[in-house]
Amino acid sequence: MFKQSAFAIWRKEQEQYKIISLIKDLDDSLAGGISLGHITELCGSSGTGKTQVCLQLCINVQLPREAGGLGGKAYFIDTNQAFSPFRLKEIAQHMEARLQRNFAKSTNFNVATILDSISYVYCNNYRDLIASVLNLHNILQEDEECPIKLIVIDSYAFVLRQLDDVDLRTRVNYEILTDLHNLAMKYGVAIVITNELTTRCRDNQNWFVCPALGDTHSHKINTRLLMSKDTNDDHKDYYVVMIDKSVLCNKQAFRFRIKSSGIHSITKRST
Amino acid sequence: MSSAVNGTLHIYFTIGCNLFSEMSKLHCLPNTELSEYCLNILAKYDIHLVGEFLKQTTEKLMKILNLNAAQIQKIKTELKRRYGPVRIDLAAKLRRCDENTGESECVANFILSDEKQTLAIKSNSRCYYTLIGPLDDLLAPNVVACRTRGNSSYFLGSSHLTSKMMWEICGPSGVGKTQMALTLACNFIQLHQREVLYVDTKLDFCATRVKNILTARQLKKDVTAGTLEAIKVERVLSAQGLVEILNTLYVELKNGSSCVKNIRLIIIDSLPAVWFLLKADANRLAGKCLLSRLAQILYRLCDEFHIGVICVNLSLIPQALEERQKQHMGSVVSKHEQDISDILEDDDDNIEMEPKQLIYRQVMGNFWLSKPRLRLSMEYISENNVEMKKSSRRIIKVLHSSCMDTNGSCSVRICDQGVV
Repeated sequence: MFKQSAFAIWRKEQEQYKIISLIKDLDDSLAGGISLGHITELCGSSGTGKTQVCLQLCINVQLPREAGGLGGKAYFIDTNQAFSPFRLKEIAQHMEARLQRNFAKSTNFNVATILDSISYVYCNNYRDLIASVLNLHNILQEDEECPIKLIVIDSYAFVLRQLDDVDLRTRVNYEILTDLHNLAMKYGVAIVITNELTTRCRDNQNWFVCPALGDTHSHKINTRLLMSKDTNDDHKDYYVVMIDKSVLCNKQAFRFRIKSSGIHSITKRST
Repeated sequence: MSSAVNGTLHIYFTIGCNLFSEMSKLHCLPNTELSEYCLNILAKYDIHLVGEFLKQTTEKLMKILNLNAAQIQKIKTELKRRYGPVRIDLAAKLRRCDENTGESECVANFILSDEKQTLAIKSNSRCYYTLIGPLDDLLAPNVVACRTRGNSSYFLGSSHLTSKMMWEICGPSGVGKTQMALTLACNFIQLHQREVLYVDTKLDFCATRVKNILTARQLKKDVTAGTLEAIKVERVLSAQGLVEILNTLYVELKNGSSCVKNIRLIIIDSLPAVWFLLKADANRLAGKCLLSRLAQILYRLCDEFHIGVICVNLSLIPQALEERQKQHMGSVVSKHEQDISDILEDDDDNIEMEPKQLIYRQVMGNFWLSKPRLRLSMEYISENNVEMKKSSRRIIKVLHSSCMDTNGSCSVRICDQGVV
């Protein structure tokens, strides 16, 4: 105890691969992408691309080592039945083609193996979710050869917001998040959860749009990305991702596009 | 409390009869009349504890025990000697601390002046600057460092920072508390060449960020590496684990273990992240019990080993003054219910609130409010303005302090070099 120094941690962080999001500016700001061992939260109202990004990350985590990926598996916990295998297959086909173009030799990265390496589980309520997260300890212990490197919970807020007792909700929320932190610390997996937006009255007149589940929840999250659609008429099909909370950088926003082939970066920055 | 003898100042601290000793059970005292027989008689009159015995009048006890006044007085004196207030010679205590820690260099002289006379207290508490310019100006405006024969000494005014302080940084989520904590860790090492223990309870510690802060300051490579090496990181995800770590640290320090003897600052980031797990627990006292154990062990580390402590706490979005007053007037029961809980957590909350009377509230409950000696609140310049929230400027306010005015505030900026 008291032997681990920041220097050792820094070296570990340097050696560690990250999951790229394919949004170049975002990856640059986050020092390489979604980091392992942390909880990243995607917030946004419906139709802002949260699930799309989740599906894309499930594929990106499997990119082979020689292409700068992790060569890991993904575990998708679905709570509001937004998971679409067809869309996943569509993105996977394009990703395979993209990789073949650039790395002709790579063999193991094809649609069949991509879909094979994504485990899916559906949780109907918070009890199911707690059970699934607990069960992950067993799953992660067994899988040693090609380990799970990404756990996605889409949507995390959906099950918790069904609880009307605030005390119980905070408790359940903290229990799950602590469990996820345990998994992240022990097995070095990246955890991505999605959250919804809600309105909140701060004084008599002003209503604010802010992420659901309250401030206690955001406190426990390591990185928060706010997602929205670009309101500018010239860029109607553009989406915006804003880094709302990260220890690595200040708040800043980037544009990106979602095409049939998946997430695409736009090098030009928005504000 | 203080008396000047032969020109040297001795300060005595009287530690009152604490609850624990008063609650001790009565027992037979050798060389007095307090025997097993007497204890049985006393028990019949419902006198079981030392405190209960001392509260009785001598006449009543004489009647009950059939003893004379001198004998009763002797028993009382003996009990007071064993369980009563203790006088501690502060000067002697400081000498002992000096011997324990072997820190003779850089002794701070505090010049405290009251209306009548100037008292000079020699203490070996060290002055710690934060190296964050505006914050230092706010906290210790009167510090003058002067060097004499290689020894620095600081003459302080009404406000000062010392090594024995327990600080708290609180602020809403995402305001930059962790950035502040990382900056303070780096500054502390640069200034004092001592180690820092960083207890990370929500996996937020990012060594890459620390490296970036140091690189942005254009330090030499070996200085950067040395600074990184001097930050010891412990990751713990439960309140019990946190208290255990600190207890282990205490034991190791007592044993003079080489890997911990240089630690002079503990940063805990953050408390609510682990304490909220105990919220809504069937046993509501579990959280409070651990919290008081935490406070006790932190005070002990502060006092015995001259370690500074910085805790990170969360505050919630502004709450109307009216609402806050209601809470204060609330019954004991409601206060108990509010401990370690946050009322405004509900995102669908639409209580009628008075505009512009906004006050941040810390989430660790009423018990913890008085524990840190200095509470700094880090806030956005404007909570309501989205554009302002994006800016890197923050306001730091002093919410609570044991040694200065609590109305001060200053403006800082979060940049590549950390918080400046």
